[in-house]
Order: sequence, then C-alpha cells, then structure tokens
Amino acid sequence: MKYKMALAVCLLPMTASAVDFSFNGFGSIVAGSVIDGDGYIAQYPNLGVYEDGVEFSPETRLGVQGKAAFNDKLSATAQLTTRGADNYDVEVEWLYLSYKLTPNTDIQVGRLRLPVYYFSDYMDVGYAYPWLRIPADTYSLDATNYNGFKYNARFNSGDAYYTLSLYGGEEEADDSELMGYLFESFTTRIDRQFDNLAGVALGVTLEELSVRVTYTRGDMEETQTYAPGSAGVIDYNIEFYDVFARYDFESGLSLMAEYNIYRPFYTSYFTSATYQTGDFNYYISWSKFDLDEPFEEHDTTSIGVRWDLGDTYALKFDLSSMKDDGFNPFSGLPNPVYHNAENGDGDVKVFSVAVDFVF
Amino acid sequence: MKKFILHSALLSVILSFPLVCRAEISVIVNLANSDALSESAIKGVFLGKIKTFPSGSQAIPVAQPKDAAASVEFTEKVYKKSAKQLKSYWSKLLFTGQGVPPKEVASDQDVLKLVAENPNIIGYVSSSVVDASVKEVAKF
Repeated sequence: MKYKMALAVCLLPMTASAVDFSFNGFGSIVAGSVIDGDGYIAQYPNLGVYEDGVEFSPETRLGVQGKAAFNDKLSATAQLTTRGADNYDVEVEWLYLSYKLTPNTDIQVGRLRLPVYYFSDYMDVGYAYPWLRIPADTYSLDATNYNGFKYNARFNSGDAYYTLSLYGGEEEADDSELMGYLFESFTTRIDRQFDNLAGVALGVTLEELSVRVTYTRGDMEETQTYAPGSAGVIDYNIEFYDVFARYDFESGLSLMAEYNIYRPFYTSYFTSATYQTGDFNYYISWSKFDLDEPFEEHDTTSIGVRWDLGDTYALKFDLSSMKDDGFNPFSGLPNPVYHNAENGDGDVKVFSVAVDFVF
Repeated sequence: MKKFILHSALLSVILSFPLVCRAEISVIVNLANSDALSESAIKGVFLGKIKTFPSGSQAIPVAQPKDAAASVEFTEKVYKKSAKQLKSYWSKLLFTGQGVPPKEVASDQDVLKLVAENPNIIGYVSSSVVDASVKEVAKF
C-alpha cells in the first residue's frame, strides 16, 4: 500500500504558501523545399519563406513555457519562442499574470496572444493540430500578440459548453517585417501602432459541433517611410470579424471552415477535411487570401498526413500548391506576393516534412 | 508437458480476455455531493470545459496514470478518444493558459480515498472497488 499523500495534499484547496512551478515546451522541426515555381511564403506573421533548395529555417521553432502558481488563484506564465524565421532570436510571446475570479472565470494581464482566429492561441504548437502548418493564406494577420488584458469565462447550458473572452490592449509593430516586405516597392519601412484594441470571442461546443465567432476593433496608425526623412502617416479604424465551425463525425472524419474579414483590407478563409484512423490523420485543405484591391490574391491547396509516432511527437508530410492571382491594376501585370518570382505568375508547389513534439 | 503449458496459457488468455472486456468503471463523488451528473457533464468536467458541478461548487477531476486499467476504460468509453488525441487536446489548453489535465494519482484506492475526503473531487475507479465511503454517479 503506497499512498501518494504528497499528491493528495496538492489536490486539496491550497492554503500553503509555497510557489508551485511547472515547465512545459513544444517544438517543430520543419524541412521544406520548393519543387515547382520560385518561392513560397509558408508563414506570414514572421515571414517564413521557402525559396532555395531544402530549407529548415522558415518554420522551425521551439517554445518553452514556465508557470509559477503562487496560490490557487494567482499565477504568472511566460512563454518564450525561438524561430528560424527570426534568426533564432528568443522572443517573449506571452508573459502574463492570471487571477482566478471564480472556478469558471479568470482575468489575464500582460503580453498575450490576440485571439482573433480559432487557432490563434496555439498556432505555433504544431503538435496540437493535424496539418503541417496552419493554413497560411488565412492566418496572415501581422499583429499576433498584444499588451493588455483578457477576461475569460466558461459556462454551460445542458450539453452546450461556452467560452467567452473579452479583451483589450495595444500593440506596437515597429519596422514590421511582413509589411515592409509586402510594400518594399515603395517604402523602406512600415511601423504600425495598434491602439484601443477591444474584442470579444465566443465559442461553443455541442457534442461533436464546435463554433466560434470573434469581433475585434481598434485604431491603427501606420507610418510609411519612403526615404530617410520622408514619411507619411495613415490612420485607420480597423475591424476584424471571424467565424469558425467544425464537426467531428464518428467515422473519424472532421470537417471545418473559417472565414474572416479584416476591414478595411482583406478577406481570407479556409476549409479542410481530416480523417483520423489509428495513428494516422490524413488531411486536405484549401485556403485563400483576397485583398480588397487586386494587388494580392492567392490560394493554397494542401494534402498531407500526420502520423502519431509516439505519445508526444508526430511526423507530418505535406504537399501544397499555391496559385497566385494578384496583379497590378494599373499595368495589368502579375503582382505575386512572393517578390522574386522569376517566371512571373508566382504559382508554386512546396513539399515539407515536420516533426512536432511537446514536452 | 509442453502441450499442457500451451493449453493453460491459451486457457488463461481465453479466461482473462472476457474479463478485461467486461471491466466496468464507476465515476465517483463525495457522499456530500448531491449533483446528478450526465455522461456529458462528466466529460465536460474531465475535459476542463467547465470547472464546477451543476450546483455551482468547484469540481476537481482526478485521473489515474494512462496505462491504469480504469484509465484505459475511461479514455475509450467516456472521452471516446485515443490517448494520443487526448494529449493533443491538452497541449492546446496547456500552452494557451486555458487549463491543465486532471492531476493523476496512482491507483483506484488513492482515488477512493481522495473522493471520500473532499467534496470537490470527482474520480473514476474500477467498479469492483467502490464501497460505501463514496457515491457512484455513473457506470460505464
């Protein structure tokens, strides 16, 4: 008879003053290669681009998370991520205090993920989703994190379980790498300041159905630098709408779709079917980015498989084909999102292999 | 002799197989807990979708190691997911500050003892160990 009384004590409502530390991590080692065409932007927020033979750096990343629980209500969490796309610089992606108001409600304050998309919160954790990568055309918002607060509540009505988040804050994107790249033809640098961000996310799961909607608004000041000493400032009122739905069939088939509108800029969406059988999860997905102006428009079709090799790691293969329909309305010429497209149209196929893990 | 060993091995496989299949598990709560819990409510609590019982008091789910007999049954019959799918589910919540998997204790006896002591705890055990110190709310 060995009773683990230490554990038993931990489970009781905590009154002890000792700080309880926990440590976890995740990572993805990704290798990809363009097999037809010139270059492929696999990850927009950090500008992960495949263009030259077999490359490991565009999407390879590692994250570690440390959490210190001071008591049963208050905790501090930090998540640091290092990415090949950012020369493996270590970045603080999350750093927040969390206070549990009731068993089902809490408030987080600090540096947080902007939860606009269904997969926003864990888009870096490849192990948590079936695809090799989150549909890139759809998950392209340049601001992924923010400084501010988030209030979270859970409640249910019969078998329907809800999550509600209210959030607000600001984000500074100085010398945005993505925006700088997209507008390199006429600017040398783009700074974006997001103020008065405020939003709401409501999710519900009912049996095998999941639905989530979000609405976010804010003020954005964009400073475009054309040459040293020459800059222009544009103020935008931005609004972001997102809706996601997913249904899991008993057969192992799952269908999902997500649609979002980023006013006054673009619309993007994806749909995917996955089929889980044993340790394999096969997928097909289609995603599209459509700028309101004709300059940028592209869609990607992907097929692939996730193979759960072990309890904490998975191997994935993916074949993606992107079609670029962006063009310059003044000249009528193609305007591919990948700028060094030599054959002009920007269409590209890329094959990738990944190992995702958690620890 | 060899034949006999083979036969007895075969016999024990035949005998134990139906037993394994029939192993039932019970979801148990403290005697002071008067909540009626549907299968969906039990699943909701164990998956961290809700952290209270229907009455509003805090619910603390307790699990057993994933290879324990009761866990294997619970994963198959209640979660209806593979152990790997569960791991993937919890990794979503863990890295987004939304929750952590239920704490694990070593055995049916440990779960029984915790549930008997704490009105907020809910656990699952092999039905054969359930006694008068706890209340059974569901059987799978």
